[in-house]
Amino acid sequence: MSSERAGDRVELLQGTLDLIVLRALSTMGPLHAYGLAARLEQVADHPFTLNQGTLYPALVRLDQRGWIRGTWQKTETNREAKYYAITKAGLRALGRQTERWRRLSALVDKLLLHQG
Amino acid sequence: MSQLRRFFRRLDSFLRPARAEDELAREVAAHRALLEDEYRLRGLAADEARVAAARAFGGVELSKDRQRDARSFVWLEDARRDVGYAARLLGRSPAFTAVALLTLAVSIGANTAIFTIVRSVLLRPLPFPASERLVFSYDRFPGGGVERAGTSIPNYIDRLTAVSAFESQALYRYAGFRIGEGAAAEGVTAFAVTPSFFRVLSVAPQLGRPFAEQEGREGHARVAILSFELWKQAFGGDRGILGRDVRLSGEPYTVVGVMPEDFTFLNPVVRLYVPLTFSAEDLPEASRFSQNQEQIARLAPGASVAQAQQQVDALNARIVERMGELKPLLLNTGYGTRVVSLSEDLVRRVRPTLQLLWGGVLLVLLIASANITNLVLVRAAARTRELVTRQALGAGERRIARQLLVETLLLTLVGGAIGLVAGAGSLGWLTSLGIADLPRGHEIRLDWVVVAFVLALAIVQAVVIGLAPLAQLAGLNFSTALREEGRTSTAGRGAGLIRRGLVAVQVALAFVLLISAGLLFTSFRQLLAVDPGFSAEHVLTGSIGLPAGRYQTEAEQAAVVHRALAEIRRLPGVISAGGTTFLPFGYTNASGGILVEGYTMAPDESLLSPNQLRVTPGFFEALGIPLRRGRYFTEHDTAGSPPVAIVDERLARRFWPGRDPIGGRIFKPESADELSAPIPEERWMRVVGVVAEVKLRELVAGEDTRIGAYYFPYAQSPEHHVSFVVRTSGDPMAAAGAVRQAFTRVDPELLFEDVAAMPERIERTLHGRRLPMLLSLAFGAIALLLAAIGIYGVLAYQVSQRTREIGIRMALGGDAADVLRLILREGAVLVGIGLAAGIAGVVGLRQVIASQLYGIGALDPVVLTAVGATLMLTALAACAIPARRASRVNPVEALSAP
Repeated sequence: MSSERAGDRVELLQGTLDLIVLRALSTMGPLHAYGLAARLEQVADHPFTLNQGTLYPALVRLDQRGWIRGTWQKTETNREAKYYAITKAGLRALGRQTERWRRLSALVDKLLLHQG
Repeated sequence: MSQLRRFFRRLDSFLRPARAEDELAREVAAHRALLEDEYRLRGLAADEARVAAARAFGGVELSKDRQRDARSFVWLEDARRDVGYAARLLGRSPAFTAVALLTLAVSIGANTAIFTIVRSVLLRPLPFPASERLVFSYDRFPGGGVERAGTSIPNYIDRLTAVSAFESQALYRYAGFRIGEGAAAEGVTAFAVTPSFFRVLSVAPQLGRPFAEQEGREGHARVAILSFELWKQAFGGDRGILGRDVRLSGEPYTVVGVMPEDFTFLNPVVRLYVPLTFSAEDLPEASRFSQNQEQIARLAPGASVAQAQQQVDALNARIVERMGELKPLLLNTGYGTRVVSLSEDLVRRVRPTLQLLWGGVLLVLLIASANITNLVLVRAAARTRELVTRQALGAGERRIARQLLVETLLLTLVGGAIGLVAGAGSLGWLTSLGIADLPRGHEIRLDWVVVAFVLALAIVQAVVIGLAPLAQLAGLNFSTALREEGRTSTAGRGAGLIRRGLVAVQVALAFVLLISAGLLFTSFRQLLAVDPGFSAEHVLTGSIGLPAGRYQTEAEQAAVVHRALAEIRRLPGVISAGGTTFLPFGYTNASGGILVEGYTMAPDESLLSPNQLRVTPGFFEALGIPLRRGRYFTEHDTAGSPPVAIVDERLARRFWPGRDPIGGRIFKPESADELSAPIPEERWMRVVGVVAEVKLRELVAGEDTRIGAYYFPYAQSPEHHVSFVVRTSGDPMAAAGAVRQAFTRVDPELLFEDVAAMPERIERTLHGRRLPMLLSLAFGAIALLLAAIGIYGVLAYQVSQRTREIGIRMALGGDAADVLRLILREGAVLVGIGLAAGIAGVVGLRQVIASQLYGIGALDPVVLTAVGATLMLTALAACAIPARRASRVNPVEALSAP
């Protein structure tokens, strides 16, 4: 669990992406990487293009932790794609991560306000 | 939990990369297919959609790389990929790889061998507990020509109480025994030791017990301790040996102990230990100056060698003070004692030599490194396009740097491993060249320190070699590099300078090594040419020990030697034969002070202790020692006839300057008292002959050279240990069997041992110099070869890079000879600079080198010229191939080439 607590910036950002992916999968149901990327672009307030280079490592990480599981399926356009679905462990982790994120952002907000 | 789970998944992914890799490729392809669909839906044509999808997806390889990083362990994964890639690349240029590996293997192999020797002989502590506290203590009479004697028993006994800096002290002395009966009998070298011996060394027998204190007293029952090897070999490793009686030279001894297998003190030949017995109570004070034992001691904890030295000096001063009339004599001889660290003293003679060799072999490593660096640089320059392309495809600079380092690391580690094995293997070959004769030579073996050191060398080498192309890469402009299509040396002038500089360094180092080799070789030849003063060819030598029980009286001893010689002289092919108590270039020797009738010593003149030989008739004839005046000994010089002596010219000049020594008389005091007492008439020996001065111990005056020699008849003063010199008409060793049988015919108990031809004996004393000479020749040859490869490599590269320029020169009217000259000049400049630096190096090192030389200076002009010429010619030959290639450049082809 240490990496989620790690204070260093990169880890934090990775954790954020993990959280976003988990959240997307829990609300949207199983998605393939392309679909995920499109969804992330869509929900962002201002268009932020997600580099595939960061999405794939996140997927591997989550899969290896047992939080998501990928299965090969056909798309509506009859293409082959790997669909990722959130697992029970993933849902639990999402709960924990969301809580953590809220606390963290609250803290950051407070800090920013104080300084402002 | 999830963290642990991830760890195993990553491990799995690392161990089985193929599955994950397929999966990734499939997923990326699917992703792009979906993107393509998307673009097509937006109305793009199929191929446009593909391009757009590719652009939108971004760097495929980069994405894959990042995924891989997350999937497995980054560093492990990278290392595997880098190693695999490096191995493929190296495999694609077999010539480069072979040359580099060979160079590495040779240089690392040489370093392995030399470092193994250096480590075993100079660096590893002696194999005794707290061995740094062990010391030698020896008496000396430098004024009398005795730089190093042993210790006398009275001195030892006094030191036991007077020297508190010694925790324990012991004496030892070589002894010889015959073990077994009849045909199975063999000689065994033993140490007679005080019971304290094993305590000083802190080693106990593995079986049984050490000697008890009372076993060191005279008259006590005889006991013995066996070496492990003797126990196994002569008694089949029988544990019941303890307490059993064995016959040593016919006398019964009780075995009380067996030493551990790895126990050796100084000399692995020693396989038996018996007590050195004396009775402290009735020791004559006169034996104080019979330094016939060696002394070792263990410093008390916290005590230093200097403290022990001080205490021994103080004791000596008190002893000299008591000596009365002898005091001035002793003072004139410079009598004193030295306390020296055992480990340092053992290797004192080989330390500078080994250090020099070590330096030499490190130079070989430097040359090899320079050589491979050059090869790698040339290769890197040729690979600029490949590297640039990889960078353009998204490989980071660090990635490329790592890749280059991995390549050299792989190369040096594989080369190093080959070298390590080869070096370890060469130790066997070096043994046949005589490394076992080095002090502590029996301890020479590869250990983990050697392996670690060699590994470290290989890694340092890899980093240094790998950094060079990196430095070259750093200054690279990628886009121009690609545009210029590799026509020019993209590495630019800087890298060219490095390459040429490396070649000059190689030449300089090779020059230093070759000079050392040339000097050592010439010096060795000078040594071989040193005339021992007698004719060693065709002389067979060997020794016997007369069994004490059978030959108790001097008459019996003289008689059996006489009979044996008569038997030997009857053998076909034997020209002459004689016996001696002091075999020239052998293991037994003696020296003793003499007084000369009518010779008054100057007030501060020292008593002399010249070499002392008791010889039978036939000795001088067999060795061909020239007679200058008077006569040799004859069969008429017996115990019953008046005592006679022969002196060598050196003593004749010293004691009878300008006079004829024949008829003069000398006196050989048996003890210090006799130096001052009136000399009994019957003890004077009349000089009957003067012989030429001959070398007796070493060809070159070493630290153990006594002044002059005198001889007296064996029959007038026999001894149990006798050596023989037999002049034969043919190969002396061919007569060895017959001589051995002649002894057995006289008495089956007489074992003819330590048999060797005299030239072989003399050569053995040069082994200490031959090995370094041969090794330095090998280093020189390697250095020359490597330098040649280096020169060739750089020039060949230059020619290939300058083909266009050469083509233009030729198109503009330059002819082949001009081009040839151009390239040769390039090579000559490099070699010239290298030679100049090399000469400077030799001048700087001349004192170190000179210490290893005999009869030749470190700046010998002949050697300098010969080596310089060899190097020049080799370099020229190395230049010639690329130069010729350059001169044959076809301008049309060169200019129209892409």
